[in-house]
This record gives sequence, structure tokens and C-alpha cells, in this order.
Amino acid sequence: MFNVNSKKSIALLSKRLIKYNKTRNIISVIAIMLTTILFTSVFSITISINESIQNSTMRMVGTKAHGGFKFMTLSQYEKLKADTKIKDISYNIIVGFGENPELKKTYVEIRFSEEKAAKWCFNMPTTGTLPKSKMDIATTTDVLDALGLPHEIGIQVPIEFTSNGIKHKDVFTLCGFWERDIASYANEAFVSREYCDEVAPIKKGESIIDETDFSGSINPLIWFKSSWNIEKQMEELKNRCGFDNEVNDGINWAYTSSEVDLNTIFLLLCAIFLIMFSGYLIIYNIFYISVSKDIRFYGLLKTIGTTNKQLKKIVRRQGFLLCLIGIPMGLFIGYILSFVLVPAVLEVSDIAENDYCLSINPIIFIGGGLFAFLTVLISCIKPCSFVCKISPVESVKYIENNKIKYKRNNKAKKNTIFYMAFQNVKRTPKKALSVILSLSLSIILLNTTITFVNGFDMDKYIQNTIISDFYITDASLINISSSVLVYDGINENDKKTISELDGITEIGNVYMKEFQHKLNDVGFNNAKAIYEKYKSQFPSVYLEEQKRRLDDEHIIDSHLYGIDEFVISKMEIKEGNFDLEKFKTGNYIIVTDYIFGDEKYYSIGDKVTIDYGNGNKKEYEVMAIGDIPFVLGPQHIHYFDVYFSMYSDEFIKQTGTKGSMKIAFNVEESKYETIEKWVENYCENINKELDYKSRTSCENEFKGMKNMFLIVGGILSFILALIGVLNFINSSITSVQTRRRELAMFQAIGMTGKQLKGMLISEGLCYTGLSFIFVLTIGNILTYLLVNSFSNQMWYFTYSLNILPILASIPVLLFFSIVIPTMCYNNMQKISVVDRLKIME
Amino acid sequence: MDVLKTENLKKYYGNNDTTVKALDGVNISVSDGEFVSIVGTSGSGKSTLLHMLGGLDRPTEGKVIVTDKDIFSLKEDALTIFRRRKIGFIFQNYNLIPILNVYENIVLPVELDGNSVDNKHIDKVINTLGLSKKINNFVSQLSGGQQQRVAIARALASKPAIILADEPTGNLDSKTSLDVLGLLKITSEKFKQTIVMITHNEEIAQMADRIIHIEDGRIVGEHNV
Repeated sequence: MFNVNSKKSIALLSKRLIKYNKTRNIISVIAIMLTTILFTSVFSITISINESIQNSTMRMVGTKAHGGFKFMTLSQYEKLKADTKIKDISYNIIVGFGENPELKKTYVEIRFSEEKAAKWCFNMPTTGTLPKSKMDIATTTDVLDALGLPHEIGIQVPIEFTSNGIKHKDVFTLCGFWERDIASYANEAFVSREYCDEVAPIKKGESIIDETDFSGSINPLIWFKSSWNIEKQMEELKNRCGFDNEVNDGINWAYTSSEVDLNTIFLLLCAIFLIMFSGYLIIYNIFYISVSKDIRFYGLLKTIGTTNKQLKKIVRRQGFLLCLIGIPMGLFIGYILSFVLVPAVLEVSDIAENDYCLSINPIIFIGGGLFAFLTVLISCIKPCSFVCKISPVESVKYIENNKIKYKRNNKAKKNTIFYMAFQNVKRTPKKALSVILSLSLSIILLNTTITFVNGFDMDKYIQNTIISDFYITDASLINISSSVLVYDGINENDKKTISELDGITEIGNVYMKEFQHKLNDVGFNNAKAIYEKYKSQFPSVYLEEQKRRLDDEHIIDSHLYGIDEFVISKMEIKEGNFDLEKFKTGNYIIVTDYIFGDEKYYSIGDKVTIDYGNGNKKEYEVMAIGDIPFVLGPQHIHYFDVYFSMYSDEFIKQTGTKGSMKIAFNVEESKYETIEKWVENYCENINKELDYKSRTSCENEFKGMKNMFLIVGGILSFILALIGVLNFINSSITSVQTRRRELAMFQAIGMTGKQLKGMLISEGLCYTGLSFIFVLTIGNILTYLLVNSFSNQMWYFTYSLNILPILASIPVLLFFSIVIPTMCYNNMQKISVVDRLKIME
Repeated sequence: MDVLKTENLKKYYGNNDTTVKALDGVNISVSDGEFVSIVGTSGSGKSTLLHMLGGLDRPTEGKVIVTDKDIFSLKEDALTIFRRRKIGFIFQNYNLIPILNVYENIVLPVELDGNSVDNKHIDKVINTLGLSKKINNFVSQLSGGQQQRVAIARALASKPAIILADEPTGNLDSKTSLDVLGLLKITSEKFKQTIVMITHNEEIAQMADRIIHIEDGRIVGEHNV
């Protein structure tokens, strides 16, 4: 009983206060809503990106299960299944691998799979079902295509394979098919359990002994109760089941590697801080103005015995009530906005172009709502303590900072109205600061976005991304999230077909092999010196191993390129004279110096022996110091590696590698479009392992990236601008309202309406002017710092001072600083001077 | 028995050179059920004294003892709670809460204290003050005299030890003033309510049982009526 009534009266007071402050409420609700929109979109973008990465990683891993085992026997599987701490388990059984001559290029795994396991591995038929009768089969359209069969349920599918040493050749009936996921490596063909039991009965015994034939072995897939620390859960599961190292286990690194990196967290924190700050500025200002307007009321409550705690509750409760309306509205609109923002961001990243998903993770809403609520809570702190500090006796006399001083000053005489306006702005410095910062934030963000985007140098980008009209390479070298990189993806057939294209003017291949290079004495001493000089910059995991191998075995990692003439012409020679004829003899190599410095591993004229590891070994003379263009290499950087380039014929002769890593070519301008279409079709339909980059695809990528920053930055600045303008509107309205009597006094003593309006507009201009001074000075420094910290990883970025967006926003703000005070003035004029003078505080 | 007592109460403003002695060693005592007027001219320190008595402002020196409790030994929030339980206020400008209706205004101090409303008492107060037809009206719909009657009702609602009235008729015309004072007098007797009223008006002061004169922050005399 004790507290119920007190709560009731506080609720009553808060509710009534809300009712009597309509304008303030509308503005606060909009402010809370805008803040929530910002939070929701930021969370939605971050989480959607993260989930899309996770999703595409899962597809690459081949399953969404938390982990799995390979090649188990029945008894091992049963131990696992009996474990109580796993949430779910399913499995498939290996039968064999497709051996039809037509399937040489298409890797097909023949298995029996439970429905759950098939679903978890993205291998459910989209047409038809999984096998039901003994001779049913379900497989991918790739397999059907390779076999030259139509995509029709009921057709006969001949499959050859070996199981337990016995060659089988059976004809199945197609019961279902689906399209192989681009990200997955293998094709699956599912047979019935009955058939599986017949040709590849489940392996019995404690563990698999013959490690060459896995037919009949079980691959279990496991879900733990949570994805938290799967590694540890897996270890514990193995311990519980008594498995030691004999089992072949794996965890799904989609769950472990998808943890966001520090850079993203930093960006996210920046965004959260920015939004919170801007939300704080306005909500704080609204409440501060509102409580100082109602200060007599609060003082009165204090006089009749309301404690500080109760007063704080009354203020906060109003905030919460407004949140009840503002936050849900913000969550809704923010989420709708994500439909625009998320695709814009994801389209640019290679990660998930095919499967971006707009996340519906509840964290978006919980996070968005919670942060908005937190912002309101923080914004109430100062108004609350203001209410508490004021004494009941003073509150009755309180007038918003009455320390107005109209100094006698010769300059002021000329422009009294403006001078008075300026003094009025100064009179409430906290309010002024909040409005100025609020207005400035959006302009700064807009300016930062535009400066950032303008700094993108298209020429720089294209030069470094592509040096020929086209290049074709294995898709794994373009898709940044590939786990297995293929360095010889362009086979002889591809090379031949491409080089015979009509309209090609220049063409050349780059071959590459990674191997460990045994340094000679000169090389060792140089490498050791480089190591000592730069070791502080290496990641520590890397350091130990490098040091051990260098000291003990004189070995460093190296890359060997074999290059055709067209690529040779693009070589970046740093030192020495390049002689093509000599180079083509195959007795010369070009060596890189240290990638982050000028130190050399080998000098010109040094003799370097390369051991190919296949019995071939040859001594070469260093002709020059240099490297192939970055874009024609594998496009990743190692800390310590040395790169050798040699003529392609020599490379092929020594390594036996026939497939090239990249093929680059220029074409006749008139044939460009035809060839681009041809290349696109070739990579999409003929050799699907390949991907390409063209001049236009680079330009589009570049434009896409620019657009993403413009859309995201633009929308965020627009919302921030709304908040700023709203703050300005609120301040203007309330400042006129609270000074009604004072302004009437001015009029009573002879200030004309025009002068008064002039004064109010001048106040608005003061806010605008001060905001611009702030933006042009501190704002520009902030922009510079922000842009620099974002762009330091972007080599295609050139900073240039840009104040055009600032200048462009001047008319907008001028408009508001004239229109809003005018409206306030007109509204005030509806009440006569006499009536306004009578208004008792 | 003394409900209210001050001991050497002093309130100084300003620094050494320009000290203003608003109160300079005031000793008064008010016994239970008594109606006392404190009379003084403008600037005599009577308002300051009232603020001290009500715990709205802290003294430079001295004590205010209400029902045997030195109120300034209490911390801020405890003092606030003490105030709402033991002291009722009536102000010159009524100081009612504009966003609440008459009834809500009257019971607010009781409810803020977390107590359930003693409806019998409140009804009696409302009837005594002739407000029974107005309880659902908002403050702005009332005349000055009516508003002051609501203020008196509010002060009585929590059955305080003392009611402090600060020029309660200062904003009223003379007829209404007499009505309000009459009601104050009646309630004092009917509810055995201790009332301390400050006024600059000797005539009004005559309504009380006892008159205390204050001048330049000192008590210069007192007499029973």
C-alpha cells in the first residue's frame, strides 16, 4: 500500500505534464523516432552484412551445422548420437565417387543422406524428392548436364563408381534434382538407404582401419546447443565419447571466423556514438528547455514536499512515455529504410552478391530500441539534476538566465537589433551550443561523405585494378572469401579458345607456383638483415615460424611467376636493364626486393639456384630487380616472401604446370562489347570455375562503391539534418514562448513589429552563422581526420579540401532561420501586447 | 507544549563588507493549536523567517525546532519529506498546480507521501471551506478567493503540525480577504491547527491569537490579542 499512491500521483503528474506540452511532445517523439531510425539502420546494416558473410561462408564450408565428423563407423556414430549435450545430429554415408567418363571434370560424390543432413548441407532437391525406392537417385543439374541428360524426373541415370574395391555400373531413376550452389566444390548424388546398404554397408568396428576406402563410412553432422565457442564444445564432445586423434573432426568456421573484425567494431562504435550524441543534443535540449519553462511548477512541487527522487521520476517518466510512441515508430521506419541501405552496402562487397539477406535478427530491434532508450535516459540526466538543484524559493523567481547584458559599445549602436539578437543567443549558452552542434553534425557528416567519395580516384583505381582490357582467372582469386586458391585454373583449352578470339590485339599469361626457396649465402645474409629490420611489423604467429625456417634451414617462402611477352611488357622494373632476348633464353630471372622497403634479397648478376622440388634444379642469373604488376599477381601480400619471375616457356618446362593463373588481353575498341559478352558467357556457362574482370566491370565496381558511400552517408546526414533542424525549430518556438512577456515589453516601449521580427530572425541567423563557423573550422579538421582514418587503406584515394557541400547547405539553413522565427512571430502576434504583458509567470 | 521554536536564528547575505542581516537572532515559540501572526514592514525579514520555519531555506546560524526535531539537522530529501508531513504552506499567489484539478491538488501532498487519503478528513476540510461543488474544476476556472481556499485545503489535507501562511490575502480584495481569514480562523479552531501567518497588515494580524512584531530581522515585541 505504501508506495502505490505515490506512484499513482507521480504517474498522474507526468501524464498531465505530457498532455499540457503538445508541441514539445510532437518534437520529442520525432526526435526519438529519428534517433531510433538511425540506430535501427546501423544495426540492420551491420548485422545483415555479418549474417551474409556467415551465410556465404557456410555455403563454402558446405553445411550450416556447427560441426561434423568424417569417416566414422557405426559404433562411433552411436556413441555420438547417445551424447546428451548435443542438440541435433544427422548423417550421410559415403558410397563412392562418380567414375563415368563424362564426369571426369565434374566431381560427384555418391552418398546416402538423411533428409536433415541434406538440408543442412544445402543439397535438397528443388524439384522432386530425395530417393524413396531402391534405385532412385537425386542429384545436381551439373551432373545431369555433364551426362547429357535432360532435367526431368523419371529419366534413367547411369552411374559408375567403385565401392569396397568393386566396380559398379548401375542405372538409376531420377527422383529429384537441384542446382549446385556456386560456392560448393562438389556435386552430390544421393541414393537410397537400401541401395547403400547393399553396395556399401555401414562400416562396423571401433574405427576405420583401411584408410584408402571410405565406402560405407558415416559422416555425422552436429548441432550444439549454442554456437558459442564451438571449438571447446567439440573438444569436450570428443572427450565425452572417448575419441582420440583417430577421428576426423571439423568445426564450421562460419561460426568462428565471422566474428566481426576490429575495424568494423570501431566503425560501429563511431556510428553509435555519433547517433547517440546527436540524439542526446536534441532530446537533452528539448527536456532542458521544457523543465526550465516549467521550473516554477517543479519548485512548487518541491515546496509541498516532493522529493528530488520523485521529481526525477516525473521528468524521466515523461521521457519514457514519449519513447513508447517514438521508438516503435523509429524501429519500423528504420527497418523499412534498411531495405534500401542493406542492398546498397552489400552489392559492393564481393562477399555475398548472390545471397545477401536482410536480417530479421531480433538484436536489430532490441539494440535499436535499447540504444534509443539509453539516449533518452542519458538526455534526461542533466534536466533532472537541474530540477533537483534549484531551491523552491528560487524557482518561483526563476527566469531563464537573466544575466543579460547589453554592453555599451560604439559598434553596437549601428546594429542594435542584431546586437540584441546575439546577446539573446548568448543568454542561453547551453541551448545555443546544443543547436549549433546539432546543426553542424549533419553538415560535417555530409561534407565528410562527399569529400570521401570525391577523393576516390577512378583512374588510380582502374590502373591498379586492371592493366589490360580484360583478364580471366580462377574464380577463387577474385572472390575474396575463397578458402582454397587455385593458381592454375586456366587450362590449355581455355588458353587456346581465348587466344583465338577475333579482335584480340595483345594477350599474355601469368603462371605461378608457391614454393620454399633455399637461400644461398648471399641471399641468406640479405634475408636475415631484412628479417631483423622488419620483424616488429610481422604478426607474431608468423614470426616464430619464419625465424625457425630461416635460421635452421635457410628457407623462405617464395612465389615463382612464369610470364608471357605481353606481361613482360608490363613489368615494373626497379633496377637493372631488361633484355627480352636474353630473358627468353630461360637462363635469367627477375627478383623482387623487400615488399615494404628497398632492401634486396639478391643483386643483379647474382646466381640463384631454384629447386623445383620435382627433381629439377637450375641456376639462374638475376637480370633485374622488379615485379609483375600487382593486379596480375595473386593479389595478396606476404610479409617476407621473395618473388621470382621467369619466361613462361622455362616455367612450364621446369614445373610441368600447364594451367596459367591469369590471362590478360587487350582488344580492338570496336570489338570490346562483343568480346565482353563472350567472356561473360564463357565464365558463366562454359568454364564455371573462371571469373573475369574487365575495364567496364572495374568502372562499375568503382561507381557502385561510390554510390554506396553516397547513399549511406547521404541518408544518415539527411536524418541528422532533420534532427538538427528539429532542434532549431524547438529552440525557436520555446524561446519565443518563454519570452512572450519580455517581447511584449519591448513592443510596449516602442519596438516595432518589424524590428521585433528582425530581432528574432537575427537570432536564427546567429545560430546558422555560428554553425557555419563551427563547421568551417573545427568541422573541417574533423572531416580531414575522419576521411584520413577511413581512407588510409585505400590506395585509390586522394584527399582534397572540399567546402562545396558546406556552402550548398547555407541556403537551406538560411531558409529555416528566416521562416521559423517568422512563423513564431506571427503566431505570437495573435495575442495582443496588453494581454501578453498581463501574463504572469 | 511548543510545536515550533527557533533558537537564535540568523540569516546573513553577502560578504563581510556588505553583510545584510535578514534575520539576526530570532527566538520565537508557538504552542500547539495557536494562531500566530508575524507582522513587519517590507524588508523586515518576515518572509525570510517564514522560509526558515518551513525549511525552504537554510539559516546561517541557529535552529528551527518543529515538534522537537531540529529540522536543519536533516538531509535535503529527509527535510523535504519532513516538510510534506509536518508543514503546510499557503502562499500569497496560491501556487496551485495548474495541470491538476481541485481535488487532485488537495490530496497531492498526501499521495506524494505514499499514504492513502483519509477521505473523511478531506471531505470535512472540503466542506468547511465550501469547495464541495468545485472539486472537479481546474484551478484556472476558479476565482482568487476560491484558489486560496483550495490552497488552505491542501495545507490542511496532510494534517500538518503547522501551517505557514505567507500573506495569504495579499492578492485578494478586502471582502474576499475577510472571508479567507475567517475560514483560516475557523479551521484553526475546528481542526486544532497551529497556524503561523505573516503579513504587513496590522488589521489582518488582529485575527490571530497572538501577534509578533519583526523589524530589521529582530523580534521587537509581541502581545496576545
